[in-house]
Amino acid sequence: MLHAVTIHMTDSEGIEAEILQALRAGERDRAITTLVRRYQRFVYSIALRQMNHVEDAQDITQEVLLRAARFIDGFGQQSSLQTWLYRITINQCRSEFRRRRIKSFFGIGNDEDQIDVASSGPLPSQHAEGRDFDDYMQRVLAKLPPKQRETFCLRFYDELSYEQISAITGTSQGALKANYHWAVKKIAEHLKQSEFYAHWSTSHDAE
Amino acid sequence: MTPNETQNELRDQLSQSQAEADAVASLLASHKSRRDASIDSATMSMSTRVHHALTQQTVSRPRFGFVPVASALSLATAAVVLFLSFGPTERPLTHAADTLVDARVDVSSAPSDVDGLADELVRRNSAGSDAWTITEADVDRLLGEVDLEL
Repeated sequence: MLHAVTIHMTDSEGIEAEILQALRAGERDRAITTLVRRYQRFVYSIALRQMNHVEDAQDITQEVLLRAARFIDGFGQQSSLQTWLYRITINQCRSEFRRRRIKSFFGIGNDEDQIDVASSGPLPSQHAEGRDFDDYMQRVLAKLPPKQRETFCLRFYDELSYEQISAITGTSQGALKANYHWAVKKIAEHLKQSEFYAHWSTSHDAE
Repeated sequence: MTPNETQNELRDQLSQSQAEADAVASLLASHKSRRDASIDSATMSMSTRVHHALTQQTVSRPRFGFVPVASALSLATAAVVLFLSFGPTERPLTHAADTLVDARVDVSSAPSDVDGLADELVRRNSAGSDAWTITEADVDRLLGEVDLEL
């Protein structure tokens, strides 16, 4: 008797398998296109968190994806593609900070290199209130311990599963859940003290 | 994970009153929605940028330019050259001339050294090596020739 075998594969694993299969079939362009389309948001989101600057994050994203495209043939699969890209992105950002240290040493830094939190916010067409809240959230997140902040961001913004975050950060899923729980608690406590919370409550009470 | 699952989990974490949970969840949901729109906008042309860069080397703005660093290295080279030319030790002219050639720092290689290092880092990672991050030794590799301390 034949038994149906169901292979449980997450979306991410499915995409990764598709990319590696395309590489094995010699369809390098298709593999790179899939890689870029699938992971560009993920890489950009991490770069934006690290650099706090839209254009810097775009440049880092391009550089990371370019490097991944160049070296994907040698990707050893010791980790997932997502984990590999996460590490490349973090290291690319660190590398950029080091370049700035070098430039700063020579006294050749300029305004463009300064961290620009305000410009990392939403689009100009969005309401000023929303922009203010996004800036406020940046400050709230900055107050969280690094592990809680990164767990919250990977879970809430990037919508990764605890299994994926665990693979990326090397932290157990139990610890990640605890980190996320405390991060949400602290964010909620901050929010409840803010004008945004009061404004939201007032406007919804009126309704 | 779907956005709805993320929102539901967030609500589960908020053990305040229903009204408080509604307010916090709503504010965070709007914030995430704006952020997602911003990311969509910022990455809209990324595929084109990457493919363009793959075929034409680079399309990014010239932000990582090493020209100023190269200028600084040129100054350091000039100082070495002057010292070797007019320093206190007397040497035959032919020896001095050879030393000048040997002492010159090839400033044009600076950008490729940076790129080479970055490429090496990716290779280290793809090979599964633990020695991933940029070390002080790597920075020294860039600046060591002129003995600069950061």
